Parts: sequence; structure tokens; C-alpha cells
Amino acid sequence: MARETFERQLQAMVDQVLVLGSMVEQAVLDSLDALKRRDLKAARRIFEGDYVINEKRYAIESGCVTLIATQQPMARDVRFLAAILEIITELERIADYAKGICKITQIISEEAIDPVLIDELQQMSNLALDMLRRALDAFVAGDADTAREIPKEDSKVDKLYNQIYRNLMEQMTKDISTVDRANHIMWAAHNLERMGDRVTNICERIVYVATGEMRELDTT
Amino acid sequence: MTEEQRRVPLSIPLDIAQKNVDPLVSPDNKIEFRDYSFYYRKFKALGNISMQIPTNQITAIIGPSGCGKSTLLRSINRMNDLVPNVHTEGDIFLNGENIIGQGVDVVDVRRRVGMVFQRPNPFPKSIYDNVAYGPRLYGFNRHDGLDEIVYNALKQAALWDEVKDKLHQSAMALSGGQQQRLCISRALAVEPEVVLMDEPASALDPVATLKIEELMQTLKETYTIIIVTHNMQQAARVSDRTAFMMIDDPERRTGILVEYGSTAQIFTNPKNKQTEDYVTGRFG
Amino acid sequence: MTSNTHVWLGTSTRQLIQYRTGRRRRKFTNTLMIAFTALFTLLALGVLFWIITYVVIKGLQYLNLDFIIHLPRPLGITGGGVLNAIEGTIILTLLASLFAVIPGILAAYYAAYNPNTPLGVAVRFGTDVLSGVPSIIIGMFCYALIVKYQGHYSALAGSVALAIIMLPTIIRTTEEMIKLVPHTLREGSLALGSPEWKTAISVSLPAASQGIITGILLGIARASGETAPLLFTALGNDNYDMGRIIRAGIANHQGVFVILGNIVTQPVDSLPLTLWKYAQQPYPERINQAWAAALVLMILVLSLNIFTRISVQIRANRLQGK
Repeated sequence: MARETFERQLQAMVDQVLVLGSMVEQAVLDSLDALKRRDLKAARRIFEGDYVINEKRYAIESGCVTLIATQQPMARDVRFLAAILEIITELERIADYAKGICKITQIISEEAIDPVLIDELQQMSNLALDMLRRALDAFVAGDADTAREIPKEDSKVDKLYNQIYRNLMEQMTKDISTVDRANHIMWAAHNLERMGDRVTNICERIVYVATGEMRELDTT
Repeated sequence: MTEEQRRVPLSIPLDIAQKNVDPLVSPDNKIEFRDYSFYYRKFKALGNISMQIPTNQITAIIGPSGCGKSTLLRSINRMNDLVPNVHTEGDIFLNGENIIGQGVDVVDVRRRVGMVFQRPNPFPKSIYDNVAYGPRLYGFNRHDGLDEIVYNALKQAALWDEVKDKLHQSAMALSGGQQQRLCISRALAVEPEVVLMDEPASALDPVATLKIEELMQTLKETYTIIIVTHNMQQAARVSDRTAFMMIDDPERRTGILVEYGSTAQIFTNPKNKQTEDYVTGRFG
Repeated sequence: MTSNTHVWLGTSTRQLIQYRTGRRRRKFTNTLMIAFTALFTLLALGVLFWIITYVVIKGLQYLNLDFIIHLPRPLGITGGGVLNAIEGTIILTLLASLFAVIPGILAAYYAAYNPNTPLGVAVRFGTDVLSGVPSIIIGMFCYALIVKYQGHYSALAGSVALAIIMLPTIIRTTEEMIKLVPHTLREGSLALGSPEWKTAISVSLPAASQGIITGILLGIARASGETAPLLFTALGNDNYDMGRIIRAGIANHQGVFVILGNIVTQPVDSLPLTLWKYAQQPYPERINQAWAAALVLMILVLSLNIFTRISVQIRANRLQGK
């Protein structure tokens, strides 16, 4: 019977974070898809739908603050709630990156892009989303070991980013007229690379909840 | 009355601040105080309290010592009548009926509004006789299902499993936490509508306190609960709505209602500076 | 005077010596006081044991079965007893308790919860005054009130007198005991919707019962030893035998109330009264019987005391859950 109500409230928080996570996941997937298909309408829809994600994040934040104020959480519970506050911030930033990609889709609109590049962007996105999904699972399970392993995948994302960067630099030096377009694509790739970093931050928080230590996780 | 209108800076006279009291009593309000004041002889202990307490929720009353919280609570079941030389002004409504004034059956009010006290006060009788005391007052005996009533009451208070084998042993042999749960089940045995709790866990150890707090969450589905506590954290953990009371000034020492709202709001974003000072521990 | 409150750390040798001697003096004073207390306790207890022993020694040899189950016989004839006195004591004490206990408890309850009303003040003041009235005057009062009106001495009049004597003790003790009941108990009952009188009967009085019974016991002990008031009211009756009255009543087909009336409207004897009468007579036989009567009285009172104390303690233990 010990603190059943509080347990339920904590569980509700976890559920809300997962909801936010899936909203963010969907946004990233949709944004990459819109870029691939050059679907301007979809891009605009996702762009404007970002505010729902922000509202969700504020709701969870407000719930956490209320729980901290009213339930006097200690030890693991308070680390948990503090970690949620950070995790939702990271999730919201990832959603902002998706929003950025949508903006880029709108800017590039009809211009031609090398399909190899699109494919590489897609790969980056898949990797990053896979990291995110595994991180959220580790969060639910409180699994610090898995959380320590996930950031290592980030190196793959970084490698892809470097590849794209070199390709685009080559293109830009060959043909100056492509600089503008290349820049935007670079920015999209940068967003996806940053997503991987954000997931690393989330994993650091998961380790913090489980062990109480705050440490940067290696991505190598 | 909206939350905005409830804000009562102490510099504003109360009669102006509360001009917006909604005169209608909504069926969701189990208890309503309307401009209720309480006097010990000439001393005004409670000043013009107006608030509505919703059904099936836990409402906490907090505030520094001596601000009249217990007096307010005891007004609801007319226990203040036991004190000589008191008189009141204003009304209190229970389910829309006025329980202040002539012609009110006080005994019936006390059945409908049960009370649990600060220190557990079981009668020096057996556990069974303690719980059965109330129903027996109303003429129930074993033929009328007294055993069933006792069982239900003990079950609701989460005490049945611990005492089912020793129902006829003395209640004084129980631990403090068990005694308090016995007092709760004694109050529940007469099927009240409201349960008043005057600092119910202040005499108990932390584990027993936790059990009582969890118990309240279950009970609020059936009863309306009002709890007075000087332990702010307990009020925060347990209640749905919180009322903050204070003395209006050091000379007159009348207790007034400073702020009343949802617990989440009172503890994360109180509207009134006095409330904020109290809740953050900077005063009181 | 040495200042024994000095902390021992880092004090000079001189202060050390002062501290040590202070301690020795304190120990001495302590032992002395304990010795005094023990001495006076032994003194008081010693008197009690001396009385008991003396009465036993003097009376036991004359105590036999005849003594208890027979009426007095004329001098020179063996086998006489004090049955009349024993029965008389029992009847008088029983009736007196009946008359004194219920009004006493009710008055005490009222005074305990309404101490500042005129009636409450009157009860307390009156009780104090009454307890100081000499018992012989109470006897005279009952004589004037009952004996003169009825035209004869009776157990009834004697019981009334004894009841008046018991009343202050009962009221005072009961009032104190009721005030000792925690008010939370009473509040708990009232909060359940119990009216005041039910609360009194079900909660307040049972909670105070141990003390109330003690008070009644003290009253009985006092009343059963009174002689003076009985001189004017019960007088004494060498032929009092309840068994015979009851048998006669049954034989004559008399109703229950008539038989009871027969029992209480006769003059009765009591053990102290008999003791007093016999002790004054010059015959050694009577004096021996007086000692035996004293022994019987003492045994009665002591056993009543012990029995009630034990049963109250058992009840208290049960309530505590032991």
C-alpha cells in the first residue's frame, strides 16, 4: 500500500514522456518523408503541428513541478523527475530539428537533389530514430547499461554526416551555383547529426536516474 | 467565485473582497460556509469565512498555529457547542441544508459528519464494541446485521485483516496507528457523508502516517474528507483542494481565509503573498 | 555550600575535592531521607498489623461456628452468637449503598461537568460541609425525620443515616474520577451522534468505574464501622433473624414486598453496635464475645476490600489487553 497514489502518478509521467517521444518520432519520420517526396503541403503541416509538441512538453513539465512540490520525492524519485524535465527538453529540441528540416524542404521546393544525398540523410535519420527508440525503452526500464551503449551508435551518424559534408564541399567547389542549395542540405544533415547528440544527452540522464552520477557518455 | 476573485490581500476589507460570492449552492458542494464567524464571548475567533467544499474530494486546511483551523473544522459537526459562551454568525450548509441555528438536530448532524481526532481515542472496550458503538446508538443489534456493519467498517479502514482474530480483545492493546484506524472505522460505521480529520496523523510514526494517507485516497471515493493539518507537506501529498488560513492582525487575532484553490496551484503558484511565504517556509 | 554544578573537566584540585565531598554529602542526605521514610512507613504499617494481630489473638479463640449462625443466648448458656448483628450489618450496608450510590454518582457527574453553575458549586460545597458533620448528629437528624414519624426504630432509618455518611465520600471520589477521564473519550462519543446521557452511561462512567468503585468501597468501609448514628435509628435487636422472617412470611403467605417490609422496618443490630454494648458489660463472656465480634467485623471489611480490589485489577488488566 506504500505510496500507491504516488506510484501511479510517476507511472503516468512515464506514459506521458513516451507519448511525447512517439510524437517526436513521427515528426522526424514525416519530415524526412516530406523532404524525399518534396511534399510542400506535408512539410507545412508538420511545421505548424510543432506547437502541439511544445504544449505537450509544457504539460509534462508542469506535472513534474506539481509532483515535486506536492509529493516531496526523494532519492531515485527526485532524480527521476529531474531527469524527465531534461529529457522532455531534449525531445522538444529534436522535434525542432524536424521542424527545421521541414523548413528546408519548403525552401528547396522543386530543385533537384542528388538521390544519394537523400538516401544518406534517410540513413542518418533511421539511425538517430533507432537510437531514440532504444533510449526511450531504456528509460522505461531504467536500464543504465543499455543507456551507456547507445551513444556509441552516434559515431555512425557522425560518419555519415562527414561523408555528406565532404560530398557537398566537392560539389560546391565544382559548381558555385549549387552553393545555396548545398548549404540547406548541409543544414538538414546538421540537424540530423544533432539529433544523435540529443539522444546521447537523454542516455546520460537515464544513467543519472539509475546511478546518481552525472557524466558525459563517450560516443566512440 | 473564480480563483481570481478569491484573492484576498489583507489590506482590503473582507466585505468588499467577498462581494462576489455566488449565492447558489451547487450540488457538487457538499459543504458551504457563507460569511461564517465564530465568537468565544467577545473574541472573534473566525472572521467571515466563505468557501465551498466539493463532494468526494479531500480538502485540506492549513495555516500557522492558532489561526482557527480546528475551530472551523469543529463548527461543521457542531462540536463547538460543547464549549460554553460561544455564538456564531453566518451559515453553514450541508448538502444545501443549513446546520446552524435553532431547530437543527445536532445529533443527526453529528452522525452525518464524522470526526477523527488528533490523538487516537478508542473507548476502553473491545475492538468490536468500539466499532459497534455508533450503530448500537441507532438501535442496531446482532440480528440487524451488526456483524456485517462492523466487518465493512473495519475493511474500509484497512484494519480488518489485522484484527479479525481478536475482535473481542481490548482496543487499548492496539498500536497507535491501529488505534487511529480503529477510530476511523468507528466513524465510518454510521455511514457519514463527510469525514472530518483533525490532524489525524500528528501523533503517529511515519509508517502509520503513510498508511492513513493512502487510506484517505481510497475513502474519498465514498466520502467527502476535510483534513486540518499543520504539516504542509502532508496537505500537499494528500489533498485535492487546499485552504490557507491566517490571523488577520496580531491584536484582534481573528482567523480568516486567505486563499483557497486546487492543491497543485496553491503549492506551485499561490496568488497571495502570505500564502507563498507560508508555503515556502519563510514564515509560520 | 559547595557548588556541585561545576563541570569536572579541567578544574583545579581544590574544586575536585569540593565536588567529591559534595557528592558524599548528597549521598548521605539521600540515605538519611530514605531511612526516615522507611521508618515512618513501617510505623504506620506496624500500627495496622498490630491492630490486626491483636484482634486476631484476642478474638480468634472465641470465634466458632456457633458464633456466626446463632442469635445471642443469655449469659451462662453456651452457643450464643451474633447472627443478628452480622445480618444487621449486611442489611444496613446494602440499603445504605442503595440509597447513597445512585444519587451520589449523579450529583458527582453533574458537579464534574458543570462546576461553575450554582447547583454545581452547591454540590461541592455541601459535600465538604456534610463530610465534617459528626455522625451522631446525622443520627439525630434521622431520628427526628424517620424514627419519630414511623414511631419505631428500623433498619430503614439506620440505612438512611449511613447513606448520608457515605454520600460525601462517594461524591468526592466519583467527581475526581470523572474529571480524570480524558475529555477526548467523551468527545469521541459525542462526535458519533451520542446524546449526553448515553455518553455518560456508556463511556464516561465505565471509564471512571475503577475509581468510582474505590469511592463506594471507602464509603462502605466507613459506614459499616459507624456506631453513633445507629444508636438513634436502628437501636439494636437481639432477635433479628432474616431467615426466620422469610420463613414466617412464606408460611403466612405474605407477599414479597410485605416480607421485605418486615425485614427493613424492624430495629436491627450491627456488629459495631453489638461490640459497643458487650464491651461495656462487666461479664468476661460478653467481653470475649466483643473481641470475637470485632474480629468478624474486621474480616468482613478486609475481605470486601481485597475482593473488590482484585476484581477491579482483573478488569483493568483485561482492558489493557494483558
